[in-house]
Amino acid sequence: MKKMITMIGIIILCGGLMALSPITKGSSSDKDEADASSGHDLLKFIVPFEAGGGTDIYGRFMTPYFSEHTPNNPRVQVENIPGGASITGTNHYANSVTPDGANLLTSSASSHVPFMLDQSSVDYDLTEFKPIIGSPSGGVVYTTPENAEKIQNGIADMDETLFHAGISPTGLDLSTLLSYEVLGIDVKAVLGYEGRGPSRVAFEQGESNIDYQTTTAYNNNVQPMIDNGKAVPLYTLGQIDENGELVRDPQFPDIPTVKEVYIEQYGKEPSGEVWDAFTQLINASYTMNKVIWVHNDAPQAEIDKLQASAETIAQDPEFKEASLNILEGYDVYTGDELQQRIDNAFNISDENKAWIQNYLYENYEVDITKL
Amino acid sequence: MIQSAIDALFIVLDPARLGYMFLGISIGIVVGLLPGLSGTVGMALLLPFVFGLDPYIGMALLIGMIAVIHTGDTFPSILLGIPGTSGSQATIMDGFPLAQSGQASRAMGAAFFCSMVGGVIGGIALFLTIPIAEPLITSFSSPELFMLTMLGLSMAGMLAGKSVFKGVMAGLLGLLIGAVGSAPAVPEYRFTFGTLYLTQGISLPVVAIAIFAFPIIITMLTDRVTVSKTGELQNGVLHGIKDSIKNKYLVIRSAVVGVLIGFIPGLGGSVVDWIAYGFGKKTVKDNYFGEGDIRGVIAPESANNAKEGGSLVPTLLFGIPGSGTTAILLGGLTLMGLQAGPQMITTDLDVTLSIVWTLVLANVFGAALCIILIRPISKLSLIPGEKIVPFLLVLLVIGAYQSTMSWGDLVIFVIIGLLGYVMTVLDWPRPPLLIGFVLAMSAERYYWISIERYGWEWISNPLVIILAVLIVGLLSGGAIMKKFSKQVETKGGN
Amino acid sequence: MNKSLANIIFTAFIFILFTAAALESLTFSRLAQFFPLYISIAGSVLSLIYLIKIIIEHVKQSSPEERHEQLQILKPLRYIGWILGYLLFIYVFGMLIATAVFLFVFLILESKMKVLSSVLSVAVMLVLITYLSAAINIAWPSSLLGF
Repeated sequence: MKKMITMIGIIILCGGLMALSPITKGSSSDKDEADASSGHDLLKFIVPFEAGGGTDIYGRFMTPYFSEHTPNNPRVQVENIPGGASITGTNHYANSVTPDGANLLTSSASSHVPFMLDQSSVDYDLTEFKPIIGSPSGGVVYTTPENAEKIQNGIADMDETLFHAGISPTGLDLSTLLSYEVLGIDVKAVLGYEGRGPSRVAFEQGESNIDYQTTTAYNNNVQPMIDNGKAVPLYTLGQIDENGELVRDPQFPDIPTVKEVYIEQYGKEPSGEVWDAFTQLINASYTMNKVIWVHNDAPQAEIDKLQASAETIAQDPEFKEASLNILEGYDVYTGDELQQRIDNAFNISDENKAWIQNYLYENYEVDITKL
Repeated sequence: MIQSAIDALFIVLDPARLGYMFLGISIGIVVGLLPGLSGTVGMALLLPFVFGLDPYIGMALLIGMIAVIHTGDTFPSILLGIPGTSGSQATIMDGFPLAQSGQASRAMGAAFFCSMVGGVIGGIALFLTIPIAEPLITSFSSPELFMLTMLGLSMAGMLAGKSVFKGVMAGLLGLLIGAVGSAPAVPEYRFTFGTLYLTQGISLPVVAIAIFAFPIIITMLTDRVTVSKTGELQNGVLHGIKDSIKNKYLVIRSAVVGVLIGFIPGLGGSVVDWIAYGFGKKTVKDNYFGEGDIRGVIAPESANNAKEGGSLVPTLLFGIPGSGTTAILLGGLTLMGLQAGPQMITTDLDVTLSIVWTLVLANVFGAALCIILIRPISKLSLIPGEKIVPFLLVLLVIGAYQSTMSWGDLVIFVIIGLLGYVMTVLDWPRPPLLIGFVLAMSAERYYWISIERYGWEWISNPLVIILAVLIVGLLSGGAIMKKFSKQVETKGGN
Repeated sequence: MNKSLANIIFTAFIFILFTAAALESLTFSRLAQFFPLYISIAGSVLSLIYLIKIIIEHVKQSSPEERHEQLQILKPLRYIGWILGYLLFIYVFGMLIATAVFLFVFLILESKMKVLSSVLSVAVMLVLITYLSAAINIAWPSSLLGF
């Protein structure tokens, strides 16, 4: 009797699984597997989030290109280790994954900022990883037409408080909150929303009246509101160039940056602690939004191979075209340029760090060193 | 719009795409059937394959699977008293007693038929709400969402069983378990005992299977019985379908509840079956819910498939996923070169319409497939407990482990399982605990946002007041509602 | 143990749980604290009232049927032991070995199945879970030995 049941179970399963196999074959590499001596047959991208999120999609998008451009055409697999807002997976990668050059880490701002600010649950050191390929993202702050006009007329003359709907003061919101601080806009941040989607709906409902979205979401969901006259872009958070200067976002060449708005409002260049902290954060969380790394102590030959394949991927016209859609259209960074930018991004001075930690504590009751 | 709908139908009926839809359906049914594997696992499974696929094919695959998860998950709920996924917990309440009295086929016949009707209603609702989605979604701000979570929690009170004390305490316990992990208002971790595992909170699939499956496993072993106490199986599929047709208003009403709950972003939809069950309990005359009333199967089963149609509205049009499954669906869209947003009803309208058709067709085919499978699978309920339990345990352990692929899942499985077992033995109701657990995060989040943003003035919002009245009405017996409900469903359709 | 006494013990446990949670909540920052604190105080008060109520009932013997309903203790414990043992085995030896050993021993000892049919069904199950893991990437619990 029971055997029969088990058999039935198996038949159903096999039905489902057999049906699955044609596409399995299609997607895994059907390249000839000769020449196995010259490296790994399998690369693993460790993604510290659940399947389906932005970082996961980034990793998955990269897999076929790494397979194609790496010698030996290894199979490339994504492995999700979710938990602790990406800290669990990144810790795991740093401490429990063999540094053999076949295991790579796909990280995002959620791993970068806690590392930079010495969050206590962080048990990894990004300087012990070698960056292979990295991509920026951008952010645009927008508001309602009425408030945009008031801001235009002079921030100093505004007497009302704006509402910002955000997720958490230690996440991507932090950069935007600091941009308000830089400009001196009086904004009350209501934090605790589930994600950027719900916070955008809060803006549409009037629950908030100043908001930011990252590049893709801005283009898809905010642009229609702007076309309907329901929203007006104020400024982009900008990108950091090789020299550490804040420049316009290549995706939004027509929208001024925070810096330009500041100059327009106050007639001088922004400077001081807030500004330093802000640019530091933009670098670590936007300009270096997503990075794929390998352990520093992996065999040098493997690291070289991965870096070389990243170079050729960046030149691949097919990759460039596909990345317009999925990587928000920014160029990827590789090689020495990437290393240089990473060094800049995570080289935070003790004063800046202390200032941000203190800012979070004073304004949002967050003691990041105890998280 | 009608013309584009017809065009989209022909797109969907393309044989190659139809093939992928059937593939999606079979995977969805298997994933639903195996306890512990939920839509999230199914989606994560398919995600690697959709990269670069033609969006119509990819959507046929993904939506085909999503559509039937809550059809397939009915099997273990009814036959074993173990929820196939967290969306079919309420089905256990009456489905399992029915199976125990040998009427598993009847319960499943009704369940699959209702799943189908509910799913089709969900698809139609998705189609109809496309033009009016925006004003509808933006009418729910945080205070309204908070009141909706309160509405959900008041269901816990209704399902409390004999002792109100025990019910309320179980609900509070659920809320407390739901508070483990990160706080919404401030990035601080609570009750984590220094572990990183607990920082993201306890995952719903683990709690849902542990609290139902663990007690059943132990009882099946200690009592050495088969599920079907009568030892025979009546053939009642048609009977079940007739039951559903007789209760057509309940089916439609529950499906509408399902669509609405799925539709409202931020509520999660994991409690939709309980809410439909609670409403059914309050509004059906002469019911004996909880003791094997076929209508206690009809209500949640109509709702949980309808929910998927509803929850696609915020997912596709606003990029707000209502559940883990739709969150991954969003990722899948990106991999196929599409983006969620208003353009899904302008430039990409044909994709959206093909989703509607896939949803409708997959529900019909999925239910048909399940009805064919009833006969062989329902024999499960005749196997003696001690012979089936060890195999179940292996599957449950693997299933529980899929939540976060960490040993923490298994530890939580045992702890919550033991709690569930003691609660079962001592007649503490478990549904309030689950509802509390699921709604804890939303309750805290929207309470906090409402207060922080509006102070106390939100209390006077018209929608908030309407919802408050509804809650009071439901809690105070629902006698008034029964008067207004034009039900002809008397005596359980027997 | 009779049911009424068991209920008292369980309620006391719930009361301690809520109280401990309330005390723990006091250590959280203001914004993280309010929700768990409200919940656990409410739970703590309610469970205390209920505890007093059932103790009085128990002493007065006002719920005779519950008082005389004896609960099984050893049998459930035995099966909980099986489950824990299985998990421990997985932890040490890995899914494949643990499942094979657990299923076989359980089927022989508890289900009194014949050796041949036990071996067969264990084999079928092992093939099934191996297939699940290989074909659709279902992960197995990790173990000390690493497989």
